[in-house]
Amino acid sequence: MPEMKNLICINCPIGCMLEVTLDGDTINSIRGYQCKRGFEYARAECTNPVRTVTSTVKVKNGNLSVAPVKTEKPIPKRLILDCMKEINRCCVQAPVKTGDVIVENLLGTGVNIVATGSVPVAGKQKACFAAER
Amino acid sequence: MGCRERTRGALNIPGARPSGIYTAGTAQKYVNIYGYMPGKSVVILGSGDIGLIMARRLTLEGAEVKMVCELLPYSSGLTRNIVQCLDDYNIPLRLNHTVVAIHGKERLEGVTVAEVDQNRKPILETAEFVPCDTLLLSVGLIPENELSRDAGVELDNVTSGPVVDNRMQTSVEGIFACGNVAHVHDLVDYVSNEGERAGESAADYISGTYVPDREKTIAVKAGYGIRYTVPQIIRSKSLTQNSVKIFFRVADVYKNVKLVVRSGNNILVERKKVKVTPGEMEILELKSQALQATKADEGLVVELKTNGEGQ
Repeated sequence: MPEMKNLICINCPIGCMLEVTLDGDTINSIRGYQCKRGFEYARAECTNPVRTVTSTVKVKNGNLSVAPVKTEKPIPKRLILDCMKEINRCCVQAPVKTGDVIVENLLGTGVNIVATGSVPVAGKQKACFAAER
Repeated sequence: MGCRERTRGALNIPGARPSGIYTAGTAQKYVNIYGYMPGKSVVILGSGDIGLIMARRLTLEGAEVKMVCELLPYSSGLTRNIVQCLDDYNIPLRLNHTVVAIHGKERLEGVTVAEVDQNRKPILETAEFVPCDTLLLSVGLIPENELSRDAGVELDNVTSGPVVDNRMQTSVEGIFACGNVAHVHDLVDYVSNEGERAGESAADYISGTYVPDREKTIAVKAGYGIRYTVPQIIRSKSLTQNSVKIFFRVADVYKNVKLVVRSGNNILVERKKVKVTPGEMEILELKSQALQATKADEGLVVELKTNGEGQ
């Protein structure tokens, strides 16, 4: 039973409307792209769509109550909500430093969740992104 | 100084004044820095990038984002954000729609959303009540220039920022401007880059290696289809690099056009584009050599040439 998928290419501002026909996991045809990148994008989106997830985790005893985090590499799109559950379950102790691994091997993907900003212990020094604002 | 987000006051949306109405940037700060959720069911007005990113962020944190309304027939945000922030989470983007009324006394209880006609006037028959406890506004930024004005710096009516030259110097010698105070940027990388250039110029000015030349100036004008350019002035004697980049925005969505910089009838640079939109800043690079030959009285014009099938 062939299935039709409509996508918008994100590689450049043109935003080509892509039309993909799928038969289960096999791609039958890709139409609507104006360059190779569009073709590749449609293929990747239909076979293994991935996204980088950015969020925050709770911090105890920090001068801010949350620290910014992200997945080190893009993870499969279908895992985004489960990834959020993992992130929301976490609570770390200050100080947090940029690059700290917050969750190792997220959901068996081999991808870590890392801190993208620092949160020092409460009352010690300014948080780095508070100073940048 | 920098930019302020356009608020409800700047939009004149009628109705009550309950809590639950935030600019997208304020909501972003609450969620990302302080860990507070602004509400549970959300409508977003305006499709600016911060609004789109907040639609995803709030969805992931457990809120229900009902829709994003955009007054214009196209989004002002980047395509990437529409796909990855709205389409991924099945959040509808309603183009040609706006919020026409706000309901609720203590807390927001809902908004009335309506389609608009070609003159951007709401069509009353299409009005629809959407229950929600939070309204985010992502409707653009206004550069803040009270200090510049007090210092006697000449401002550009379109950018609402100072008129700057190729070294980011304003009309007052020794005052430099960069970032969102000069014009609103879409990507932070451009802001950092502009900041570096302004900083370098200011350092050179202080150390005396850069003496601003007030005489040989070339005016850069926005021609057909172009809303504004930065810089607005090029001082050809103060060129430090082999080229000068002109940043600009187009006035509307156009397809199959050429972006051109010319001096009189002499075309200095041109570039073909399949599609241009006001949401994406455009850049053309001019060789310094070409500029040396430009007559100051002719100036430069940045313009858009269509093949007669503009949109």
